[in-house]
Amino acid sequence: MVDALREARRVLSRRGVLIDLRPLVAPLVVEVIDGAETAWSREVATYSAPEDVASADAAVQTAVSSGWFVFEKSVAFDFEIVCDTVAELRDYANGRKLCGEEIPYGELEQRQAELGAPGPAPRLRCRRRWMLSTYRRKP
Amino acid sequence: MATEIDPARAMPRAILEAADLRDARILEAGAGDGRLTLQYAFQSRSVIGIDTKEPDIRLALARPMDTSETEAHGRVRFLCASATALPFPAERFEIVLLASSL
Repeated sequence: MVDALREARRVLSRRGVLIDLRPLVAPLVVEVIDGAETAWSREVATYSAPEDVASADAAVQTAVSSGWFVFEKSVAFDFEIVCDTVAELRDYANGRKLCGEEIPYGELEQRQAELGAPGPAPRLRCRRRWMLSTYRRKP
Repeated sequence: MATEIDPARAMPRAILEAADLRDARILEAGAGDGRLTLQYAFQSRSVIGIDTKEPDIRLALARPMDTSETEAHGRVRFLCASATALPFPAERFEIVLLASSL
């Protein structure tokens, strides 16, 4: 990880900007949504492995303390996946290694059916908290 | 309706608000299939997206674009490379984006 930051510094112009974009250690939120309303919600186990996040944080700290970069700002935001069926959500989660076994697919399917009856099925949403941080290269 | 990934475009918006991309040469490490790249590249001078996963890079190169991404496409290149051994000269980029690459 430190090697990637060293390389980033090398290829950045003087006063160039490093953007570090990655998910936070926070619960994944799965929801049944009806239009703009959240009809049912459940937090599931953290996606990101805490040890990976800790290693990444340590690498950034090394880069800053070594005088390669200066921290500028951070902003957090929600990254969302919206789909119609549990099968679609499962496909996405498996493809992205989104700890699919932690997502309560059975309960989601049941809630979706209950909340939709007798009308059209409400949609499913999966939210993850991400953080974007910027650093300025030191000349 | 198909699966919608980041329908609010929260991720490209965060990038566009984080730094001045105008006239910037950008390196994106961890570009994957290029989905994110094409959503902010229209603001830049150029973007090179790299990833170590060759199948993802092949997807990026073959990626169908929606109309909002067409303008970006001519500025973007994708190649297979590692963030820890970048095949570029020093001081080549104004912005380096590490997309889940740490």
